[in-house]
Amino acid sequence: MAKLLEINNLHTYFETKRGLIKAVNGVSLSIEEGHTLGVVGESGSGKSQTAMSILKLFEKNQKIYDGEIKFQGKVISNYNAKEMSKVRGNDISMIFQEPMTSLNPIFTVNRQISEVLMLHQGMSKKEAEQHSIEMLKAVKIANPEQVNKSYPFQLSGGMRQRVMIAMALACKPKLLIADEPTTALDVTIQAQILYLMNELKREMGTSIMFITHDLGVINQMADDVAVMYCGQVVETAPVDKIFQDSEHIHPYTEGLLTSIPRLNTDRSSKLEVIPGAVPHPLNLPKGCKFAPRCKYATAECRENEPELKEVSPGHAIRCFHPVKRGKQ
Amino acid sequence: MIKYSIKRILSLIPVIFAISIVLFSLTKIMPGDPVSMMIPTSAKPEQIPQLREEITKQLGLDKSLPEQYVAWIGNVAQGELGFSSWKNDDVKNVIANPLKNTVILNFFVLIFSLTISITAGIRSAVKKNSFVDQFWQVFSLICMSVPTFFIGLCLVFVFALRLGWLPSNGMPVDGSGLGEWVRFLVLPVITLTITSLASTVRYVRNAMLDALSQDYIRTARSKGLSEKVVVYSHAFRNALIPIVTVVIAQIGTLFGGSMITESVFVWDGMGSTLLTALNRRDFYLVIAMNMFYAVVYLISNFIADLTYALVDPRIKLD
Repeated sequence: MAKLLEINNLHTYFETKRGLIKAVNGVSLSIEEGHTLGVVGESGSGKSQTAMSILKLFEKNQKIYDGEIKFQGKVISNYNAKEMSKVRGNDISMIFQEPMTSLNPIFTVNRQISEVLMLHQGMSKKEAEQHSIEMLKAVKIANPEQVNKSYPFQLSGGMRQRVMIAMALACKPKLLIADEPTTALDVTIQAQILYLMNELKREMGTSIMFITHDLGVINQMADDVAVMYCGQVVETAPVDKIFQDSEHIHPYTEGLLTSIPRLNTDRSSKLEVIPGAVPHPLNLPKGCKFAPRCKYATAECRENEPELKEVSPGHAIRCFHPVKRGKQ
Repeated sequence: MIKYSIKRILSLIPVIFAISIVLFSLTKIMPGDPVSMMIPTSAKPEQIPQLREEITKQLGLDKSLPEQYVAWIGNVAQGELGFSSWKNDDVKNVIANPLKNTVILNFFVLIFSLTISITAGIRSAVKKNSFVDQFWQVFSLICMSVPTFFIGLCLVFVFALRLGWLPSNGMPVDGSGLGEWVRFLVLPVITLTITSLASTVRYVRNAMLDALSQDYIRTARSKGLSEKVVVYSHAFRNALIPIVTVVIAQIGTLFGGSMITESVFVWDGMGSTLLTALNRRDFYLVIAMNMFYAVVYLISNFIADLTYALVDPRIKLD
């Protein structure tokens, strides 16, 4: 299948007074057309910054130091601001974690959706308004005409996230980046939004980069998975391999999987956790970044940094000693 | 909104009454007496007690305080603001010219200070910590700390005394042309603009910085909107509420004038008139001017509330 997006050895750093923060430190991953890539990792693992790098939504002290991002065969990582703004919202769009604050409080829903349509599709105000109502229908909002005229403060969190999705998909983008879109919502609304996203993906053929720290959501949404740690991808594989039938697995992924609480575990037993904390980005360990927290780490791990190596077709692990399944 | 406006305007009436009672009493207990000021210097010593009595009667000062208040407020209701003991004329006629002069002066100040502070404030916020930003930060710090009269005197020293380009103070004579007005206006306008700029630049900058750091700005950028649209439409509209507050507060000075600057430049405006009226114990002039200030501030607060509702859909007036 054709690759829609390819990230090769991406480095995105923040320049701060105390030194360079290597938020994205050599990320390579790819998204296939019509697929959903789930990106999973702890807070500070660089998953959001990888997403921001794709759209170049940077802070002033942040930039790409190395690597490239290819979208539909074109290198977009060296686009200038003007070229980039033609991609944003049109070919690649994004939804965010905070539906409560991600919409402009003083503009109507109509104005915020129409804006994208008028900008990228050259629609007139009237056409854009019509299309905006249609988009609200597509995201299953019951009274689209009324919501279209509303201000964000008149809508609930779930409704606002639906509006965000409608806005993001208005120009039928090839890729939708969803940065923890359901984290701030309660579980029933979360299930509805996930269901909606899956349905729209099937209808419109949009690829999705789904960022989350919730492996349960990954299992439900993703075709492929990329596990991130300290600004690097430590494992990529099709979703089934990670959850069931791969022969080997990265120790960090193993840790994430065993720390999912299950309904059938003994109530007296403690929840598994990965010991320690993510190292400070200004003080990264030498060698494998996960070694200080890894129960399988050897002297080699603490000295040298492993490469992301393919262990079976479509499945790559950044580890000298991948864990054999069943050993857990 | 119309219903709200009517309600608000009606509720102003008792407030204005209350203010008038307080102002009337406060001005009355002010030490000094207008009568002695009105006795002509040519009067012989033996005539003085009689003159004093006549003038007291003429001004209505022999009656009790409540009686004086009722008589005064009755006249005010009919549009008669009282008699100025200093100018020997109706208060209305005495105020007309200074009011015009103050409005002319402060109109330009308002225009310049707003255009400069909004453009400079936005630029400072967009290019935070740049040279432009730091320049305005230092500028506003200095101008807020230095007293207005000192800035005025410095300008007079350089442009009037040293360079001789502009008159050091005063007003154009009656019937002078536009050029003459401009020559006399330049220095006071610059002085007042600098003072008001100092704080408004900071307000605009902080309001913009706050708006620019919000999540919806990231959303706007992710939609592919140009930086111009993001800053001027999405961010500035949100920054407007705190800015409106400062702007409306300045409308008060548009009519009120500034005592210090007008005195430095001998500008015949409301501020300097009030100062002289106080020194002359010109009772009706003082109270009429203070009432006028009170009404201007009440109305500008009302306008501010209406503007909030126009700018921010979350604010509902009812």
